[in-house]
Amino acid sequence: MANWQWFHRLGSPRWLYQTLDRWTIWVFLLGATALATAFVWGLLFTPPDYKQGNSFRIIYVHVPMAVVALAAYYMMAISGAIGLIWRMKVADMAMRSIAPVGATFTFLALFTGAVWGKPTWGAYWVWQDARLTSMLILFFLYVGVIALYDAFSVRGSGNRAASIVALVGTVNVPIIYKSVDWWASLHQPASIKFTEASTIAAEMLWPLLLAIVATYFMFAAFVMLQLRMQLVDSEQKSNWVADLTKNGST
Amino acid sequence: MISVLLRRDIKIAFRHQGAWLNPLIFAIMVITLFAFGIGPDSTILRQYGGAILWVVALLSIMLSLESLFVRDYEDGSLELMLLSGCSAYQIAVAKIVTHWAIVGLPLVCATPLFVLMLGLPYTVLPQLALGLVLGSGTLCFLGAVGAAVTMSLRSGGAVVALVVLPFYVPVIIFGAAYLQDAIWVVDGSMGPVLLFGMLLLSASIAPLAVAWGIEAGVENG
Repeated sequence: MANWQWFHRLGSPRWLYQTLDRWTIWVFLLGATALATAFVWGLLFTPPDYKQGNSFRIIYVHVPMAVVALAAYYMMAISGAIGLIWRMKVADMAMRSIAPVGATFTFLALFTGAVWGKPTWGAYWVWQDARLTSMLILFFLYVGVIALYDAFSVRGSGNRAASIVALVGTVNVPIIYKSVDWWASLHQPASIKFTEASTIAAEMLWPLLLAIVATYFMFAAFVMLQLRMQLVDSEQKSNWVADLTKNGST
Repeated sequence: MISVLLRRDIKIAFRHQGAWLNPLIFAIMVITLFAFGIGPDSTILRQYGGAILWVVALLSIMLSLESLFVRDYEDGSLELMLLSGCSAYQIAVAKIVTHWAIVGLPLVCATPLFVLMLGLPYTVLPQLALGLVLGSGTLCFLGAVGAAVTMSLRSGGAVVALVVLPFYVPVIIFGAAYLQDAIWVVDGSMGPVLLFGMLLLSASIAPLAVAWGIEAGVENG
C-alpha cells in the first residue's frame, strides 16, 4: 500500500506553505549551482563551433529556456485540468504560478534567440525559422491565459476559464506548431540552412544537458516562489496567514 | 431540443438586423481601409488580396464573438435553458451553428463582392468560397471557447481577442495559402483537406470546452 499522505496534505495550504518555505531555497541553490557549472563548462571548456565560432555558446541559455518554456505550458494545462475536474485548489494555484514563469521563460528564449540570430543569420528576427515563430505563438498563448484569469475579480471563475482555455490549447499547440512549420518550409529560401541539436558534438552536448536539468530546477524554484505568494493571497482570511504577517512564521 | 434552440436563435438574429449585417459591413469597411492604405495600385492589392481577405474574415468573426453568449447570459435565458433540460453541450452546438449561419455564411455569400473589391480574378471564387466555408466554421468553433469563458465579464472583448487569436494561426496559414495558390494557379497546398481536418477537429473539441464554459459561467453568476 503506497503512502498517499503527502497527496492529501497537498489539500492543506498551510502545510504546503511551510513545506515550500523549507524547500524553495534548496531547490534554487541546487539549480543555480548546476547552472553555474554548466555555464563554466560550456563557456570555457568546450571548443568553439567550426562555423559559428564562439557565438554558438548562447545555446547553453537559449535551448534550456525553450525546452522548459514548452514543457511548462503542458504543466500549466495539466494543473488546470486537475483543478477543473477535481476542484483541487492547490492545482489552480499551481496553474497560476506556472503561467507567468512560463511566459517569462518563453520571452527569454525569444530574446536569446534574437541575440543569437544576429551573428548567425544577420538579422534579429527571421520569419523563415519555424522554431522562432512558434515560440512567439507560445508566448501569445501564455499571455492569453494570464490575461484571462487576470480579468476575473473572483478567483474561482478565473481559474475555471483559464483552465478550459489552457486545456483546449494542449490539443491546439501541436497543430499550431505543425502549421507554422509547414508555412515556414513553404516560404523557406535555400540560403538559410541551420543545423543544431541532433548533429551536436558530444563535448558540447553534455554541458547542454546539464544546463537543461539546471534550468528545470531554476524553473521549479521560481514556481515555488510564485506558489507561496498564491497561497498567501488566496488564504488571506485564514488564521495562519494572519499569524504569518504578524510573527513572520506559522 | 437542438432544433428549438436553433430556431430561437435564428429568429432573434432576424429581428436584430445588426446581428448578421454588422460583421459583414465591418468586413467591407476594413477591406476599403486596406485599399486606401495600400493605394489604388491594383497589382499590389491583388498580390496581398488573399491575406487581406482572410485577416478581415477572421477579425469580423472574432469581433462578433462577444455577442455570442453575453445577452443570453445577462437576461438569464442561458440559465433557463439549462433548467429546462437542455444540456450545456446542446446549447453549445446550437449557439455555434447559428453563429456561423449569422456571421460566417454572409461572409461566404459576399465573396464575389470581396473579389471585386480586391481585384482578384473571378476564377478563384470556388476555392475562396470553399475555403471560407471550412475556415469560418473553424473560426466560429474555436472562437466560441473564448466567448464562453468570458461571458460573465463586463468587458470581455479585449480578453477574447488575446485568448482566441493564437488559436487562429493555423486557419489563416492554410486558408490564405489555399487562396493564394488559387490566385497564382498553382497546386501546391493541400488547402481544403487541411481546412476540413481542422474543422472536424475543432467541431469535436470546442463544443465540450464551450459546454464547460457555459456551466462555469452560469454557476458563478
